[in-house]
Amino acid sequence: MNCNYKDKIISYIENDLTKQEMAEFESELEKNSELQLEFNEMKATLNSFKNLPKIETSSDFIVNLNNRIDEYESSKIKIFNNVFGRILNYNYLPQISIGAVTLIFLLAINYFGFTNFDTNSNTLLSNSSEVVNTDDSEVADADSLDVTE
Amino acid sequence: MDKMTLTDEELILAFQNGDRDAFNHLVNRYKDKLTNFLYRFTYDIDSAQDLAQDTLLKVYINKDSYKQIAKFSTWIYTIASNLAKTELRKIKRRKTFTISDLSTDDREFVIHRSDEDSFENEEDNSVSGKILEKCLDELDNEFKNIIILRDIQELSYDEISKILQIPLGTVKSRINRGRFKLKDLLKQKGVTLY
Repeated sequence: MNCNYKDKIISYIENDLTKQEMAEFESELEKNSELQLEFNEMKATLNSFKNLPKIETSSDFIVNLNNRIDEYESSKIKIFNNVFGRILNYNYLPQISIGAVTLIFLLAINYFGFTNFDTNSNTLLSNSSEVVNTDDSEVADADSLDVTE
Repeated sequence: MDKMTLTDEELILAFQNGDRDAFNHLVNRYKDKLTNFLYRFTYDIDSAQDLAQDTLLKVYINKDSYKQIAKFSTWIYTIASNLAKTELRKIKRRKTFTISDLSTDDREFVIHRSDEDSFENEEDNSVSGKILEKCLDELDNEFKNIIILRDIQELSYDEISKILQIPLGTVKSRINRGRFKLKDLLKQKGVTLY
């Protein structure tokens, strides 16, 4: 049998051919008994899927699924409680307090230290610009002297 | 708002926004479809149901990883298909382990799935669900998966291409080859196809 036509059997069944291809296939199908046999067998194979038994879920499917979802939700809460429960456990409270105070202290030093440094550096900068200005004025004075000379 | 009229994509969006009832609707829509799909891999209703529950639980847990660009059915079948692959690997390993553990004499009594029931007692030669299931099981996995998705779950070529992450052309040619192989297997079993 012409292999091209065999390949077109499924495309024909699924309406996946152009009008011209369809017409060609149909005319070949009429005169070619081997193609007819292949075509009918393929149609029967595809129809047989309807005979597959339909599986239905049991009545407790949703109940079981919801139980599993509840388990998941409670395990999430457990993990949260385990992590934060340990941290907030009374046994660790002094260490946590000391840690917190130290952290606040370090942050305060960091903040105020840098603020002061910024203020100082601004002062330093303004002083240095004055110095530069003074130097410039001196240079200017010197130039003016040169001119007068 | 009547949730029955909403699309899958609208339901998952509602669930992402905290509407638990929308998730229940999705469960009702997909529980049978998923169980049917997974049953074709496990041939055991209980484990098919367990896997369907695993799939829906994954949807529940990872709801935020679904993006609206894809169809919901593509996403859920991708999850189910991955779970089925893992389960098949486990079953294969279990089978190898059990049979290799038996003595040579014992091995003679191992009944293979295809030999379990003879077709001789079938009332007629037309394709029964049982025979079709057995022939499907004998197909290579690459053909089996794709035929299940197309001919049993009735998904589009485009969806199958996304689920299996293979080009559309490959999907089409693999489905064609798989169907011809299945037809030949049915004929080998003495089924009259008409």
